[in-house]
Amino acid sequence: MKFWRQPKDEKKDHMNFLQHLAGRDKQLEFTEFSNSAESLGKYDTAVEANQHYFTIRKPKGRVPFDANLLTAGQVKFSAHGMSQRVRQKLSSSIRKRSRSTGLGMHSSFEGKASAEVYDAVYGILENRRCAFKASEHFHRPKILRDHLKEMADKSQSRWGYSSSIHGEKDKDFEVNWGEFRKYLYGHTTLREIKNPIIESLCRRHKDLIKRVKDNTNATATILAALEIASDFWVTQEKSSGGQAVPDENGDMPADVVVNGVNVNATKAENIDPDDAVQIAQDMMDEVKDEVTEDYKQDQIRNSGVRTTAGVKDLPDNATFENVVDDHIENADTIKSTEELTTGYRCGAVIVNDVKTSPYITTIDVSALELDSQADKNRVSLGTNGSRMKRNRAWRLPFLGDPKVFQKNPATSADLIVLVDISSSMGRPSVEGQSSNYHSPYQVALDLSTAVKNRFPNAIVHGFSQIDRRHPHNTDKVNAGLYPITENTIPNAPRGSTPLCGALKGIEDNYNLDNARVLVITDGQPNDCNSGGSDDCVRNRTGAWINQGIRFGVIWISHRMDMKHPLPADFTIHKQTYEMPNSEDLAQVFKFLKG
Amino acid sequence: MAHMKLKTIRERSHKTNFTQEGLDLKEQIKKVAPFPVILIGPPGSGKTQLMHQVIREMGTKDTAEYVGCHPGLDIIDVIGGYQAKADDEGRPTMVWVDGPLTRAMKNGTHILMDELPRLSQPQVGRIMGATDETRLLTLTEKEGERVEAKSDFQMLATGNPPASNYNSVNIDEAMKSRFMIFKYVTDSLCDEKATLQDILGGDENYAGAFINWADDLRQDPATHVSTRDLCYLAKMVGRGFDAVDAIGLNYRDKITEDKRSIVMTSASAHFEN
Repeated sequence: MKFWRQPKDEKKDHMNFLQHLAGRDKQLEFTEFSNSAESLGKYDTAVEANQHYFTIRKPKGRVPFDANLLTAGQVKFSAHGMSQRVRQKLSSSIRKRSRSTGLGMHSSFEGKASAEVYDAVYGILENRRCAFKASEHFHRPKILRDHLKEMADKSQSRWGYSSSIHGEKDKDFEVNWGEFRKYLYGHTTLREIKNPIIESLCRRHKDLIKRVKDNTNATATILAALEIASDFWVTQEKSSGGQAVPDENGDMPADVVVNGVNVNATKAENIDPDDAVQIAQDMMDEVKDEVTEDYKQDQIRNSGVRTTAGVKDLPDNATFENVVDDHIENADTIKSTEELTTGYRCGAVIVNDVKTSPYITTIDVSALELDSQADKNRVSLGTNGSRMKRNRAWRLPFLGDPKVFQKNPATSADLIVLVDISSSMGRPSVEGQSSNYHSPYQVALDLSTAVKNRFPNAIVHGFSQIDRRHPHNTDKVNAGLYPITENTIPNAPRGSTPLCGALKGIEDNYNLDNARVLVITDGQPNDCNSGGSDDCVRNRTGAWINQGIRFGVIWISHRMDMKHPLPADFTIHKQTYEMPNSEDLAQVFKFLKG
Repeated sequence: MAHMKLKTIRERSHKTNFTQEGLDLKEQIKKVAPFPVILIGPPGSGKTQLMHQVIREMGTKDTAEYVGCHPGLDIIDVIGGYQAKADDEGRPTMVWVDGPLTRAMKNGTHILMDELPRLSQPQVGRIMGATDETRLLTLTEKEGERVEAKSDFQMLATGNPPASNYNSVNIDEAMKSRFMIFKYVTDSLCDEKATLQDILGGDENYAGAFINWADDLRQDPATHVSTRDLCYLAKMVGRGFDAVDAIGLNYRDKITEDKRSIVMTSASAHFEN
């Protein structure tokens, strides 16, 4: 989660407002499309949700205030939590039916196209529904009026609405979702739709679309998308793919009959239309039942928090509609109560047993060797980089370092590098999958490799969120410290930037007297359990300054106006995808040497 | 405020409108008398208002005792102690003065301990006996005098949850067990919409805008708007303040710096053109 910047105008800070509405566990991602034609207006925003992201599509540049509020409504009222459960169950239902022959005759692509249909249909229906809700919520009829008006002019081939959905190899479906959207908004007729898939889909579900288009009930939208996707699988994806193949002995798989219908029908024997309706209906019922049951089980597990929150338990006979309503009504309350009462705090645990991946450094380490050799021969009188040798102790009265004879604690940490591994840092180059750009993560890894090469005792940790149910997270802290070695990076959750927790974590785990801490990040800290991230970082570092701890920040961001709350001795600003140069390295080494 | 028309109104004194949950809770508290009751929840959610209503309805308004708890509260402020007083001839003498707890026990009335989780352990230890089945308080400071609570004595308490940004601690398990009702209150006990409409002279739109604004902010506990804040804001609007200005004056600086833009952007979305 990113709080992007200090706003110039608090009343128009939509980034932070949107992130607030999206919640702590969702990150915002913006994709902007070019809006060259004058007639297209600037109002066409859309929001898609997946497990970790809200992807917001918007015209390039500034959009009107009301258009921002439309996006805010689309984020706030999105029933993405339940929708994702439904999508997941839909996919598993399709897989179950495909594999029921036990011969592995269908590839993992089976059902993929239907899931994509679900995503697209749900997204378009949901954005329309949320436009109604946004207009009502902000008491601004203009939001809905402008949204509906602009749909009439939308180019059908606009990016994001024209795509191919992927079935099995060589069975892709070319779909223009812009046409579906125009049909939904009443700006085109069935006859005018050119894309055969969309035409068939709209024709088959004409009544359903008519019924759901002005419905502001979240359940109706989810069920409509589910019905369309289930039907798509049976009538399009299933009948055009999934050929039964003989096994090793040349025997054909047995038919799988559900409710008198052979669900394993092949392309040659297309499914009877009535049977198709029956199969789709069965799938829908199954998905609804499973989602309802899963949700109920989750609530039983959370019954303590529900009781504390004053939320009534779900009745045993709760229906799908009941659980969707319950989720919309109570999810925030339950989450807030959990946060208020369970005493989560700022801190970090070091997770040493995290799975790792090898990465490829793009920095020329051999070039650094020469410099480091000179450094190794240099006798440092400070306590950083290298400790004073005993035979230099005669200078003690002059220098006044009383710790020269002290045995260094086993966990003494003179140099610590904290690398922000939140997802906005991008992907580094890993083995077999080289990155074609220099992401902030890659820059951070190059720098930390250089530091490690020059100062072998330096401790390098990636920091990010940690799951509250993680077995190591017994203290309910907000950050995980994941070791980054010379060759590997951790495969850790990459949601947020809990710097305050990470700082507390290194304080708890290392002796930090006179240490130097280098933080490499691309955004401001967030995900604090104590209220304000910036204040929390400042409070934590205030006492450290008196201990002689110094901070350096390498800031990799396209936003040059950001201020970091760390009281840093030096800050290097790098533009995103800009590689560190030798001057930067020299500055880093100078800082670390003390 | 172009998108909403605001009627010019005079601020009206607001009546207490409890939600159904609040009304139920009030009856339940009355039903368990004289056993102790505590409501725990965020500030400004109507806990103390509800307790006052219970006291009013049970007819002990004039005799009830009130204590605002804090860690520095002296034992003399709860139990009582010897205080210097001038006798008839003007000479100072030490006289025993009962504290609110002792008085409430002797008079058989209510004592409202506001913010009980902030009370320090010496006081908690002393009130344990008064609140269990023995209903007995020994005044060790007064030569071990024993005070038996009259049958109508009931302790009502409120408090904030032991979470970040509160100076509260977890209530002792032994103390917890003495409460017949130990209830977390997360939703407001006050019917906010009715109350705001009442304050705003029946303007549904404006009251609705405040409710929606609060709803946006309540998605994160760090920006939680209390019912008290909402009522204050409505009163400010009633007195002629612009809503965004009122929010800037009343609420903006109550929360941490990095969340202020969320509050003000939301205010602008709901109240500005």
